[in-house]
Amino acid sequence: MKAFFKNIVITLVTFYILLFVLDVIYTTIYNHPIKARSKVTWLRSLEPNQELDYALFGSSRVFFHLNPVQIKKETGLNGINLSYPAADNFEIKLMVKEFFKKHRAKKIFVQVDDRYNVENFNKLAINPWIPFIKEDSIYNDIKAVDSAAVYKRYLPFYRYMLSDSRLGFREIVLSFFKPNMFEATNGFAPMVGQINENSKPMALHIIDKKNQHLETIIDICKKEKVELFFFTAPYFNTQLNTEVLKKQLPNYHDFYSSISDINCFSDHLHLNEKGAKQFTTLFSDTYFKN
Amino acid sequence: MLFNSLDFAIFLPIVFVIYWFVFNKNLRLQNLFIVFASYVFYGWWDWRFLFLILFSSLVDYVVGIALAKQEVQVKRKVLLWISIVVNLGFLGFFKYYNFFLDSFTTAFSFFGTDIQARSLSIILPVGISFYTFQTLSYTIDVYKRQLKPTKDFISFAAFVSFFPQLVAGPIERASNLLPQFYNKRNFNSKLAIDGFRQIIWGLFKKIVIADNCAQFTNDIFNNYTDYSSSTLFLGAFYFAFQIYGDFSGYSDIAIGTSKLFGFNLKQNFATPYFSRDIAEFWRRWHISLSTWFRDYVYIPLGGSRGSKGNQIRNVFVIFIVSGFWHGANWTFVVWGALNAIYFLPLLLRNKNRSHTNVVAENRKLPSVKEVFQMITTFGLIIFAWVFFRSENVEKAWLYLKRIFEFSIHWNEQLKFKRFVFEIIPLIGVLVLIEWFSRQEEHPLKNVKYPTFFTFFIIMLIVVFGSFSNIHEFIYFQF
Repeated sequence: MKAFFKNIVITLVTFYILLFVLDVIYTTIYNHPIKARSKVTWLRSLEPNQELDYALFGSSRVFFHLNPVQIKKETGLNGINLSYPAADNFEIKLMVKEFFKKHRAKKIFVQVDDRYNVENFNKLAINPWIPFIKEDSIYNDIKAVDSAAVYKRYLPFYRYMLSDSRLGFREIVLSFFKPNMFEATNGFAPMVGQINENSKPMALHIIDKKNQHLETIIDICKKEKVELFFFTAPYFNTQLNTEVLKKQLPNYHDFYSSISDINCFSDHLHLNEKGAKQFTTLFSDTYFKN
Repeated sequence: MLFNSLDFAIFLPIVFVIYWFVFNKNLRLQNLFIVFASYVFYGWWDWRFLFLILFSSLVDYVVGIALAKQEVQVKRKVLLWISIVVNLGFLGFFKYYNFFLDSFTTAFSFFGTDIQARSLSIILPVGISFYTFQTLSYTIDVYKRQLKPTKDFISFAAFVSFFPQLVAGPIERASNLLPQFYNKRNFNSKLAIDGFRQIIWGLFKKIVIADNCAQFTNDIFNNYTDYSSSTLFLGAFYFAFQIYGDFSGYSDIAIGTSKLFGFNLKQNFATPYFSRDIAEFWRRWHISLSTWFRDYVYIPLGGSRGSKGNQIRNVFVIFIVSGFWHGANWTFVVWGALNAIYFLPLLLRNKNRSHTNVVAENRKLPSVKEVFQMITTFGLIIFAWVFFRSENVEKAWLYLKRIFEFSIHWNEQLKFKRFVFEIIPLIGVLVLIEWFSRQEEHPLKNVKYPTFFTFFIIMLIVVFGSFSNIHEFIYFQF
């Protein structure tokens, strides 16, 4: 029995050490990436104290839609697109908070849409934050929405195992040589393809009540004395009761039906490259040329 | 309770400690505790099915004792049939009722007669095919007077419900497992350490190989009309390793867990993909089921004796029944029939026992001929797996048809680059490790530096394991 327990104890201790070492290695790589592959690692690896004219936050409906390089050409203003696919209100809040830790912007733009009522974290979009869960500010926010946050923080390597397909070995290896696709355009990436002509119309609905994460963003911007704007990016052939957003959010602008050309859409929710170009012009005309 | 779950990681140490430290002085209490732990393990899925397993155990226990007392052959036969009807009745009802109903209504409507039959929403009790066969083997062995019936119901209930192998085998024979419940078990460190290592190896096959392959297999099989021949071939290739990693991984965990409690179960897989022909494959794949069918179906039918016609019939019967055992779907029947077709030429030329030893025995590398034989056999197996994996025969047929269009779209493969860079090397690691340990029960046994090698496997599990996509063991559905 002694020999067995000795074997088990040695295995478990070595297992724990292995997890601990792997955790340190992975976290170090995410903290100091050779190629920042996610928006979060990219933001964290930017030179600190940047003074920008504006910063854009949101989901894929900003990531694929607004090109800061084009805005710079059209208006001369410096900005950054800090949105990323699947991000819901909670992840957008994390991003805004992270941005203000080291940077400043005169104007903050947050895209809101049919996901307005989502209060939970997004299982996909939370992943880029997980390597940094040991930082108190990030942990406290995640803990409030994810009951497993405590295990992710304190059990070594557990968080990387849980997100193996997003944060695992493959991502670590790729972070050494494969750059992201948005760095050259300050956070923008175009979407390809075009929506099928026969696609059916969509009807989406949002409930008229406040969202706690967006309210936090409003408070942060007040505290930072920064102008905050909310907007809704274009949809194709979709019904959405955006009057709720207009009622609940300050400085709200509705671009929901601003583009109707089918050739500009990749699907109901996303503009393609042509649409993104058109929308970026419309956006900068609306906010920066008056 | 899944072997690769947190529930089991908590359950196992608790049961281990109570088993060896609380009940180690009293064999009866130790066996009773095994029954209790097994029922907790099984009831974790659905406690209602505990009544089924308890009833099945009671019937076979009583029939076994009655058989021992009964000398009149006719009455003995009646007793045997009671056990067969009860056990296969449950299996038939839960597993095949809807299938037969659908098949009959379809057949009648084909001849112009519409039958109104209502299918039932039946949940298949986990592991019913496994424990039914295990308990049936007991009754048949007692009937044949090859085994003395037990008068100890607790031991018998423990034999039927022994949790490590309850839900997906290996299907143990009473002659091997039951006597182990009669004798006092002393803790054997060497056996327990070996069991622990076998569990690690099983987890590697399940979490690293099977679950990673499953992501690609599922995507490709579910959307097979979107993909070209090369991708569809890869899909079948992934599935071959998914099912192997899944099922043999389960068996390793089951056998390893049994060793922790002082039990020796029979080996269920013996590097089957290194087989040089189909006959060898079936001696190395799911050994406990193959031998069950051999002893209780094939040999009673006459086996390979008798006329050629009888031999062919027997081969088809055993493979089709074996296929049907896997599930109530014509795909399994076709899969079984295909294997019978593969097997027949070997049987008819008396070549079905050409390869009873391990490939390249006492050599490091195989000969060119052996490599060719292994690749050919593996190719045939992959072909048959397509039927096993597909939803229905029509889809399997279309899947294969698309493979043989020989269209290759390399751009499409980019979607699966993770397979090329990550999964293929892992499969390579599996194949290499298994090749160099093909004469052992499992690779972590009798290896030169066992502790180091175990850590290496643990590291592979931690780094490459699929933890975000945990899949249930495929054989649970059977």
